[in-house]
Amino acid sequence: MMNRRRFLRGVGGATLALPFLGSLRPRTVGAEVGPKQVYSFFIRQGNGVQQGGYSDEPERFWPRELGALTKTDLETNNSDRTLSILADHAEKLTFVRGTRFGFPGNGCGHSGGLNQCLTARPVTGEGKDTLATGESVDWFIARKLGVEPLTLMSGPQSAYLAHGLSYSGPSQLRGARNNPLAVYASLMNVGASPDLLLQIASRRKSVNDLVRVEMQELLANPALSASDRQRLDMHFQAIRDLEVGMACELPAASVQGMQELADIFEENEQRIKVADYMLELTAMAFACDATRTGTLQIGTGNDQTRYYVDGVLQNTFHRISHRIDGDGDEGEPIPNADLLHHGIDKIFANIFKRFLDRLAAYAGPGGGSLLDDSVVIWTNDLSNGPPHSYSNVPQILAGGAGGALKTGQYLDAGNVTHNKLFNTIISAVGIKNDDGTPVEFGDPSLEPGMIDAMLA
Amino acid sequence: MRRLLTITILLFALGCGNDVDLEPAGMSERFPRLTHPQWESTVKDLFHLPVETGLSAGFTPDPQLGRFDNNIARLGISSGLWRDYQRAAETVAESVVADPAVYAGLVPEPTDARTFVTTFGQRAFRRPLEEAETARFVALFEGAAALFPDQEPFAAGVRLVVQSMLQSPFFLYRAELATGGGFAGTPLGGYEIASRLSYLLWNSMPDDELFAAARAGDLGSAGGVRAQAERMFEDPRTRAQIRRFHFQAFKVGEYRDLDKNAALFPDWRPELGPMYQEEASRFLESIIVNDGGVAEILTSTKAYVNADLARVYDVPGVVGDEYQEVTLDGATRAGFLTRVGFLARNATLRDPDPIHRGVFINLDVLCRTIAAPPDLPEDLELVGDTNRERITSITGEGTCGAGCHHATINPLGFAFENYDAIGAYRTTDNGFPVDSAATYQFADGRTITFTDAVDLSQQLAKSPEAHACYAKQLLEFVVGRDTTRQDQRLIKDLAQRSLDDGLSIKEIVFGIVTSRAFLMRTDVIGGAP
Repeated sequence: MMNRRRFLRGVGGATLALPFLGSLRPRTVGAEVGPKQVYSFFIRQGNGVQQGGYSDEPERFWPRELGALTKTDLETNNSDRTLSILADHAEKLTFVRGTRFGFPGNGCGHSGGLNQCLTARPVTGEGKDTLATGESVDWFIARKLGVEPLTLMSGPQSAYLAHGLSYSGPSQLRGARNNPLAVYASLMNVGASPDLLLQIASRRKSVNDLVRVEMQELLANPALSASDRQRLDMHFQAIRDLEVGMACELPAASVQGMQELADIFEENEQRIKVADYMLELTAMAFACDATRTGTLQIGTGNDQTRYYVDGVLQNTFHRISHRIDGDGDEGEPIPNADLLHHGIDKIFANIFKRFLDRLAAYAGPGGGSLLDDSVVIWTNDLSNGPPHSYSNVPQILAGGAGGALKTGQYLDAGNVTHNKLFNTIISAVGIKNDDGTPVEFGDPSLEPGMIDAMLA
Repeated sequence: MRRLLTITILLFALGCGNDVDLEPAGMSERFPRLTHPQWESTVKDLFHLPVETGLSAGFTPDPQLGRFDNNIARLGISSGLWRDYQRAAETVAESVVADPAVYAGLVPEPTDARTFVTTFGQRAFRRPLEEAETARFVALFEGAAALFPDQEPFAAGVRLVVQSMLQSPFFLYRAELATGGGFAGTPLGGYEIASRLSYLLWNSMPDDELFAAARAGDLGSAGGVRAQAERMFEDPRTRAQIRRFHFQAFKVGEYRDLDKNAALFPDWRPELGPMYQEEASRFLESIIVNDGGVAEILTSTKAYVNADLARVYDVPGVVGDEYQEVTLDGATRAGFLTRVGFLARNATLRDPDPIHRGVFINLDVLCRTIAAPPDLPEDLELVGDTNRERITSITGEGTCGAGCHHATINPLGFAFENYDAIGAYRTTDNGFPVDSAATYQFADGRTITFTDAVDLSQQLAKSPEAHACYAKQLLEFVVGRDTTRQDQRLIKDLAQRSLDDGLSIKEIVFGIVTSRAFLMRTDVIGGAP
């Protein structure tokens, strides 16, 4: 497990002088947010996955049996299935089949799916230009926690169907950042110049040093009551937490790598690398408590990326997912398209696995790993290949949300609308209505409730 | 633990003893944090900005604890909020030195670091700086040029000191550090009283005159405090505070977003919600500004209406959007509880809601606690020709709701059956005559019988409970915490004078700010009360 102490290495390698370090871990002093500190993240793959149910294509995605997930079972009995790639984290995983989108797509399955994917709302408008009619789950969670979500993408900003995942309100589509270096700079709250970074850090240090002296003098006052003291101590802790957060940084190799991508991050060849950097940044942001939720859209709306499968640059993912060499209804069949689709699914599974590796390597505020205090999901805006169905959308979750979720299982939700999945996640994150009742996220016309089998 | 217990008993004994004729000061904590609106108005006044910065809109919101937004239970700090403060302080400091007009106001003439630190620091911390503090900030100032290489050196110093002071606990908290005094309480310092006064009446920092009064020692006496309070009361900012108080105490803030059934109420449109709110605010303000009291709130027929509101009130001769003063028909309207805002907020899309009207009066007009409702039975079926009959069928005598609803909630609510879901007056309901008569039993067993809402309002205006409840809420707002046993004597005294002598609300405020609850502190011993 990566030691948090590495985050105390300040800018320029100097260790920040931090007195009163009872614990090196930032702890939540924001008790008003909820008793727990839980991180959530939503990763979206497009074009569905290759799974059983269409034509005579065999099942290559889900494990063979519902029930408990173990590393051994995934690696042996299910080694031919996409999800076996996640075997290392078997105990922290929840595979959910049997969720569907509640609304039709208005003429374009991709656009309709993308817009519903995290909103569980009907779409407005037609064809590829539809918009969601409500906020997405990341913005809902962020609003409740008083943070701003990370809104990230790997892919070009402008395309036939570009970003469409994250909504701050009805039709309020949020732009997604797609340059990892810019995201890094923004997380560090500065421009990209290292000199400026150093200057700002030094100013903050000088201010914090002074405020710390003021706080110490206040705390030394013998007349303070226990509650006065508790209040000031919370403040003191908050300053320290932020200093720890301020010192969060990525390894030089990663920064160097992001710098090398600075002009080519939209290119086809960089799709996976950019996605990996975005998730590395997300893990860092969570470890530093810079934010607590966010989204990553990999590929455009109908992902036109040409991925490498078996070392060969393939046709676009969109065409492979339709099994024909055309973006419309007609085209020559692509040979072995189902296998190529399966190959691309495995690429996404590996991206997700590397993200889980990172989260598992950080210490989490709950005493275990950061993954234990998170609930992250690899979802899709469609279910499968050619039919591009909205039923049985693959929902692959990891992390126990600080003990709220029962992990290590593969379950069938029973063909329910996927708002129930979000209700479950929102509850696991610790958010309730003001009156203590569970949140009903998404469109009011959808059947309310959670997926009870997911709860611990 | 034993020590704590002994002291608590001692305090209690002192509070009840005959030899102590003063009410004990209320227990208070030393570090109430600025609310987000207070942060905004303070930054605006500190730098003499023309408008608020708006930066607090992005602050981590405070949780809804206690009745008012300044309740100390809400005012914690988190890493997220600290980050918000840090960024806001940096942004403000950067813009202050970049804006020549603002900068000139801050640094009027050539000066030195020490003069800047002491003058600005006195306003930022709302008290003069200690010598050690001054030295600390001067040192910070002098090191600033290296940290802002692109900035003119003096401006760099100003920027870093501003950035730093805005993150200081002495800016972010209204620190009350006065010590000394015994069990009866510690007198607050003049500057501490100045801050209490200005945040109460203006929701912002003291002005120059108030600082001068603190410096001159004028706030050491109740008379001196009263003189300042009287002066400050005339400032428009006090009116905004009166609004803020009633928005929260009487839920006037919730009128803005009202919805009604368009088929049943063809004149209804969503724009009426904000008008209902404005009318309620003007009504309450006018009573306070014109030396009215609690009884007037419950009985006055004076109203401020535009053409749209006049139509709902059935007042002839009002045209246009401007609000004008009118007198409502005393046979159908009396005070706040018969105003369209209260009535429409406590109504469904189609019908009056006697349950919520009754609950509001119990909780917010009489400060009577109501036990939490039990789980609803599944077989509730509304039966009856009128709204009252239907509500009675599920909550009246002989139902499971007989305990709370039948005796305590419904009678007060039924008095308002003459007002429909948008607050208009009616004499029939579904073709049947409205029945608004009922009998209510106070918590102490007294009963009142009334024919309608006007009759009820007039009787409530003569009840000790209504006067005590208003005084209690006002005290809560003034001291920024829930009231405690120590506050009861003050509340009782003010309520008595309000009931017997018609003490104005303005005088209740002055009574509070010259009380020991306001001018002194009792240290919270061993933890929160």
